[in-house]
Amino acid sequence: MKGKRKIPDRLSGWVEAGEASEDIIISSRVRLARNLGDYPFPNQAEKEDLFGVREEIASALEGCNDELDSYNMEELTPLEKEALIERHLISRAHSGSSRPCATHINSEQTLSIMVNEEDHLRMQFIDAGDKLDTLWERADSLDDLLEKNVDYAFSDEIGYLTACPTNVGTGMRASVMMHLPGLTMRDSIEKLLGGVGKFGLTVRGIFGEGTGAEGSIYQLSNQVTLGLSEEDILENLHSILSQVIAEEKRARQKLLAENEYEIKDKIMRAFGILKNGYKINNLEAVHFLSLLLLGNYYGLFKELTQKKILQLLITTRPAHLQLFFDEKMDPTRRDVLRASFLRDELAEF
Amino acid sequence: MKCQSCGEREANVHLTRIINDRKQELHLCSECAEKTGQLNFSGDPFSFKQLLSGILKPEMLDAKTAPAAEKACSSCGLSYQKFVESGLFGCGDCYDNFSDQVEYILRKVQGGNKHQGKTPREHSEESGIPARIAELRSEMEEAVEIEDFERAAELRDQIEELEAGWEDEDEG
Repeated sequence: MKGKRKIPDRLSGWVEAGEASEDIIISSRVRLARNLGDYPFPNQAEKEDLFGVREEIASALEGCNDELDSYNMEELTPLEKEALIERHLISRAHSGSSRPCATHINSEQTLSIMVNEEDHLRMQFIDAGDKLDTLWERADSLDDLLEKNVDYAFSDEIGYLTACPTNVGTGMRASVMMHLPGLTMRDSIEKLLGGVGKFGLTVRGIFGEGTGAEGSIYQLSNQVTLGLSEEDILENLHSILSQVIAEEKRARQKLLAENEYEIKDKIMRAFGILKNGYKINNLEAVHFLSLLLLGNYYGLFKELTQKKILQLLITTRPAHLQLFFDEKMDPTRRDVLRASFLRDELAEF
Repeated sequence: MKCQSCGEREANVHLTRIINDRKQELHLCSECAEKTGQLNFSGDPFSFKQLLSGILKPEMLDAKTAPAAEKACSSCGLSYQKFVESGLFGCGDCYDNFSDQVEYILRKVQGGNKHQGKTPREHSEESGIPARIAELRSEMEEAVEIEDFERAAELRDQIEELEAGWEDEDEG
């Protein structure tokens, strides 16, 4: 298995190097959906059309400033595709698609372009912390470059035309990944979930099944893509975001002020389990690592950094573990090897 | 609690039905619950797409908005039925061919129905004129309303000029 692997072993640049993420905003993303005017959308297109789209976009990307690794999806193993999902570089739908799809990723893994997913083109920029404005600038300029070489499906009235009418208009989805243990533990999440809808935004959990939010990690994104400019959408997000951050900080302080020993005990027990356990499943890992992030915020660790914890949140996920140990494993063996991996990784702390 | 239907998996769906004043409680696993046909658990039942499909079924629409049963896009052949099932249009022309439904959908799911964001650079050079004409026209109507006929006449001339130029360009 090793050696032949196509996707990079290292993680995305935003989690590997560079400045630390902010305490609450782990990362931000801006995604643009576009379609070529000359072809039916992927769900209604013939295979030959989609091959045509794939080629047209590949050649349009040649003038791009970023150096891109390009994969036709049929070349990747299921495990490699799963790892790209775990790095938030592609969607599950893209990984499972039987259409001729492609993915282009820059060397930093901060830009990924999905071809023939739900739309012909989905370009996504990702970075640590709240970088929505700069990500939009980068997306805008890549989009400018591409439109010189391809004809987009566009209408004066309703903007960029997308397969799903929920993306039409700007075709932009801007989102931030937030760590909200304070609001979660103080049972204030429901209020937040209810409130943001009024602003054309939506919140969902990142980990866990269905609507669960294991590890208190949530994604806030715009739901509305039409009738507002890109800048308005970002401003909306920012104004809600700053309130969420303020509330979360207050909740974290209250937790400490009212239940100092309980909360510290909870965090250090999580640390103990991750450092010493022999069998840790996926959701437990997310849950305990989330507590370590909170411990990092409270200054409970001297050496253990936020970056390290964020890396573990990705490297302990099923596909990354299997690629690391170079072995396909059933869930039970995975839990054993996850614990062994964590013991090694945390031994020095 | 085990599922009352298969007796194997944990029950995580709790259904309460009241039929003819008789209350019936069922505790099922999600797989068996789905088999009852009353609930859909494959994927997230409250995902945006599922909800969208729900509001788009022809029987949910009023007479004006509901499309003819056999309605299909003349460019890509996508039927309305298929659109409802997938929540996805088949090509850019679907937006024109299903324009009545599009208007309804956008009213329901979006913040407005007029694009306010960026425009492809090349596109704006070509199509800036109709937009400008529309702008002038509404200014003219305002001028008429406040009985500023001098201004209205001025605007009318500008519109005619633009229209003439636009048509020339169109032919060329």
